[in-house]
Parts: sequence; C-alpha cells; structure tokens
Amino acid sequence: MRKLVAATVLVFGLALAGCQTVALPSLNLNTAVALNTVYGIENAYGVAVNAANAYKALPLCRTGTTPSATNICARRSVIERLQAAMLKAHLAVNNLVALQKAYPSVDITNALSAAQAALIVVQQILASGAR
Amino acid sequence: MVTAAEIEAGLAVAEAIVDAIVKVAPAIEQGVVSSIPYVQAIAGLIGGSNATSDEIDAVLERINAATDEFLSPLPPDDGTTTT
Repeated sequence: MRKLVAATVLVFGLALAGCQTVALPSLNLNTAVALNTVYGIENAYGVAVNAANAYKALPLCRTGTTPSATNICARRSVIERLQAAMLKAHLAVNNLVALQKAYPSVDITNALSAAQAALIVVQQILASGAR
Repeated sequence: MVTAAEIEAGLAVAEAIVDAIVKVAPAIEQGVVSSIPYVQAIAGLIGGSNATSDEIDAVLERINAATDEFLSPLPPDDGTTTT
C-alpha cells in the first residue's frame, strides 16, 4: 500500500511538474543571445552617434587651419565623410534590428557583420577627426 | 632663469587653451552625458542582464532621432571653412 501511495505521489508530482513546465514561459536561448547581440551593437552605435554629434557641434575649422589644443574645431571634410559612413551604419543597424524582429530564429550573422563593419568605419573616421 | 615675460606668455597660452575648452565644453559635455545610457546598457549586458524587444525598439528610436540630427546638412561653405 505504501508503495502504491509513493508511486501515486510520484506520478502525480511528475504530472504537476509537467504542467508547470508547460505553464512556465519558455526561454529560447538562441533568441536571447540574438537580442543581447543586437542590443549591444545598437548601444555601441548610440555612443558613436553621440560622439559624432558632439564633433559636429564644434565650430568648423577655418580654411588653412588645423585642429589643435588652442584651435578646437571640426573639419568639414571629416563631418561629410562621417555623415556618409553614418548613413550606412544607420541602414545596417536598422536592417539588423528588423531582421531579428521579423525572423527571431534566423541566423543574423551576415546582418550583424554588416552592422559591425559599418560601425568600424564610423569609429575610424571619428578617430581621424581627433588627430 | 625664467623671466616674467616668459611666464606671462605661458599664462596667455594656458588661458587660450582653457578659453577654447570652455567654449566647446557644452558640446563635449552633451556628447558624454548623452552616451551614459548606452554605456550603462552595455555594462548591463556584460553584467549578465538580458535585453528585451521593447528595449531594443526604444533605444533604436532614440538613436535614429540622434542620427537624423547628425545627418542634417552643414551650412554651405563660403570658402572660409574648407578643411
């Protein structure tokens, strides 16, 4: 009898556990990783955009002058190159987010690489502006 | 021996540097302050927090607005800012 009770409790417990498993929200690890990856790229892009806006807010360098400690200014040519690169980064990051959103389980590697590459170009131009 | 004139010249250079930095400080400060939420979000990810779709959408909207601002054209070059 004791064995029967124990077995019943065990089966009932397993059934309950089964119900609980079904009731709990499922966490797709691949999706979580993709969301985190997209969010990380997005925030890196945010930092780059802010740096670019801070650079653009500087007074433009006068013709024939170069930026220095006593002449803090932004080069028009650098801003124009940054704008072209930023437009590409903008499209790449928005594509990445849209892809992940529309197809949560699809491989986002290519879109991710495109966004990373576009952001690296932005970073390089920003660094050249600081020189 | 450093002369008074040399000290004065050094102070003038220092003053010019400080003036230049103070003049552009709001732009630099704005850039740094605006970046804080992004840096905090990255730190959160490194710390193990998980992003949600809502967070991604909200951040993208904010960044796209900042991007639009950056992509607005510069004033036309009248020849005095050709660099």
